[in-house]
Amino acid sequence: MNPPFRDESQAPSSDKAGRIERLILPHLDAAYNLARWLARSDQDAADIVHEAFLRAVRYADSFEGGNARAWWLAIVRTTYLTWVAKTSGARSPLSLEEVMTSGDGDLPADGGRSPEELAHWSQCASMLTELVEALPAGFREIILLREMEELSYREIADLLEVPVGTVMSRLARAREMLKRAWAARQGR
Amino acid sequence: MDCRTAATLLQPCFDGELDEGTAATVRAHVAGCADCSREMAALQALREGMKRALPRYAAPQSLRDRIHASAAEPAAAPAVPAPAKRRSLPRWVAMAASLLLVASLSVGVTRSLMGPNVGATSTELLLHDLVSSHLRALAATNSVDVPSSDRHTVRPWFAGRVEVSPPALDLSSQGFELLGGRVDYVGGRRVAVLVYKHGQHVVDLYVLPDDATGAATNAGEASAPLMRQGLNLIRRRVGGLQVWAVSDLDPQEMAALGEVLARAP
Ligand SMILES: [Zn+2]
Repeated sequence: MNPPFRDESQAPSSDKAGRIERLILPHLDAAYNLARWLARSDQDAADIVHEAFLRAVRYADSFEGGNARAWWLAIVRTTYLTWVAKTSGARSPLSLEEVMTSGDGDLPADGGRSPEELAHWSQCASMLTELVEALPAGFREIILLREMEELSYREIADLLEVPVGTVMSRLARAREMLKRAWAARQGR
Repeated sequence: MDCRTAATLLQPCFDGELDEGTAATVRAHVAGCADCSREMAALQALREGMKRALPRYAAPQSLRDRIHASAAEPAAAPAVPAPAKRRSLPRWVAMAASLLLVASLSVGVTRSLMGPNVGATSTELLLHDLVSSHLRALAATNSVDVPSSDRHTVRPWFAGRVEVSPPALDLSSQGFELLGGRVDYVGGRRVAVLVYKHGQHVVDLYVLPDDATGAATNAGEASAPLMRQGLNLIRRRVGGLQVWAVSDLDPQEMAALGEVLARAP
């Protein structure tokens, strides 16, 4: 009971690639956003998503219908992880502690007491962005998948290939780290 | 509901993961508890803050164009210049060039091996464990517990740590440099993992007892590797043990590794 499209021996790649392109295109922004938050660089994020697309084409037969976005985001994440393994040493991610102790230069001395509400807000926003960026990758990805992509625990568990219990504890820990880091910044 | 129970259910409740009855109980507690409602407010503040503050990055048009060009003509993909020195062009060339071949190779392999036969489900669980272990190790700072390029150091280290100690495989002449070993859980057992580097790729070799899950099937024994999550997996019997290799090596390179393993003593 092979569907007809499986017989691709004559014109294999472009048909398949076109099919995968149509499949992932609605989720390209989500993929780029995830890669950008994980890799923290525009150029690297674009390269990762492009490589993920090539992988997805190679891996097309593993898609058995269902949640295309979760399938595609899982491949983007795998690509990111193998990319990190390949380029490790090129850059060491900052820890939360490092950002919190070394980030003073990025903020005005009177941080938080600006009379301009807008300026205050954008300052807070960039501070929160900075704190999320400083989370260790495992915690960063889980809180982004939950709060930005609004995936359910089950979807995140499938994507990360971990039990739901691990998702819950890691998510709770990520939130705790952010709340503490935020409080520490405000208390200064 | 007491505070301790509520505390463990607070986040699942906040994330809409509880059934309505339990959620109502949690909310009732929160309404009457200063501590828990403070915690709930903090979760809400964090969510609102992230929603409003965090930039959502949109895929640039140049990326859309690159993907479209690759989709239209896969062989054109490596023409994109690789600006940073740590990006490896040959890898891209190889990957794109192998698209045509691999696309036709992989058709049906997964299906025929992973069909509804005896042991297929337990094999899927085993593959799942292997893939997540490999990804976890890649994400960790240290993918090895005992770093060593000397197999005579790595092997004794496993004694007492795992059920079956790994064979002393020397793959250096085939370009697989031993990085070390670690212990991981696969199929509910502690197993030895030998970690190799091949070019830029990390290859994990999982050494399982021959009676382990999946041994009943011939999954992974075919010449073409299985693909999961964009990774390749291949299995060989080595000296009465089953050895699974997991990596993002090209399928051809994985198949070649399979040949080497099959010839190992
Ligand atoms: Zn309470």
